[in-house]
Amino acid sequence: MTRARLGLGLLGLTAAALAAGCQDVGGTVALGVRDEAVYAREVHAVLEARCGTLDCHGDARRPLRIYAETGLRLRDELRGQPLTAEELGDNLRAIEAIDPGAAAEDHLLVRKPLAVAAGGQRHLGGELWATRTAAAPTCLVAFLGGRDDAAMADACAAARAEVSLPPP
Amino acid sequence: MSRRTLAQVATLALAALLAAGCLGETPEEQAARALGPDTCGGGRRRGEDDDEGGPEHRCGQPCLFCHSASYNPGEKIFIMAGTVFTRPGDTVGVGGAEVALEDAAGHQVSVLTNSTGNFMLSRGSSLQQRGKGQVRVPFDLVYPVSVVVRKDGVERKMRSHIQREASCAVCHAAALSATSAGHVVLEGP
Repeated sequence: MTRARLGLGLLGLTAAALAAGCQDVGGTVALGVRDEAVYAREVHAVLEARCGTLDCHGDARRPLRIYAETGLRLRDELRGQPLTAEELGDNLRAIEAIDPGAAAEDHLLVRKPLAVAAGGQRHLGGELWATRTAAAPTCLVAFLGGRDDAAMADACAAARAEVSLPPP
Repeated sequence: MSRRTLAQVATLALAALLAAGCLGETPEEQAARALGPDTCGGGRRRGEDDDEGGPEHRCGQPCLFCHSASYNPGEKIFIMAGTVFTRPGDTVGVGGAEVALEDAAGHQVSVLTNSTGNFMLSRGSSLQQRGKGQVRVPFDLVYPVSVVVRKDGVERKMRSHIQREASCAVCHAAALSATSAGHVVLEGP
């Protein structure tokens, strides 16, 4: 084999290896399966108050970046304005992206704030909910499971009542 | 060049690189230096030579950049500190404003701001109001913390909770922006 052929062969092998690395290996990523209107109506207020402050997930450098009227805004000129549909949609995509394909009960959005004793996962922001049956995790599990029913609305309303923000 | 000389040169170069790496600033030092001069003086601009500390200095700046347990060239260590202004755009804070905090464990503490609007909480063995915006508390704050500021019949409750940041100015820089809610103010947005 000449040096030129050897070089071409190596080049071909390298290209094949790179292409293989980029191939779809069969996993699924569940993005965009939850409803933005349901998120805005039922869930966002809970996340804004408990997760989306500027000193927690209202920080673009952290995983699960959350935009909020009282927290991080997408653009400077939005400060003091109501949350936009674009920001709400970005929040939903951030939720979808943080644990794609996870079952609702095991989703990181539920496990991280949950007390470790209740099956939660260590969270720098602390343990926000003592049990899975508290209003907020019940609301989130229902939402992540794609539900939009009366039981979910009741849980989410109770969760929002726990964290209601004073008016501007 | 002999192998021995080459090795000596390489060793010297490596030592120089290591020394340069160690002589640089830490992130905390960089953050503190980036604060710039103290402009807190009722319109009177202070030079850095005048930055001798004291509870009235550097109003509106993130206090714990120099007063935290992990980095404290300012010597005093705070567990929460900040500045209250009368309105947006003010360069000096307002004295005599009450800052009332309640943490997740139910601890309540109230402190009056000093002449430049600053207040600061430190750990102590008992509750001590020390004047000039300083108070010592016999507990660690349990987050989230809620805050109300009051003065002359005006009361404002912070709409969100403080979840972990102990320097108000980290989230309340002077200018409104995507990442800042603006100064803590009694009047205005």
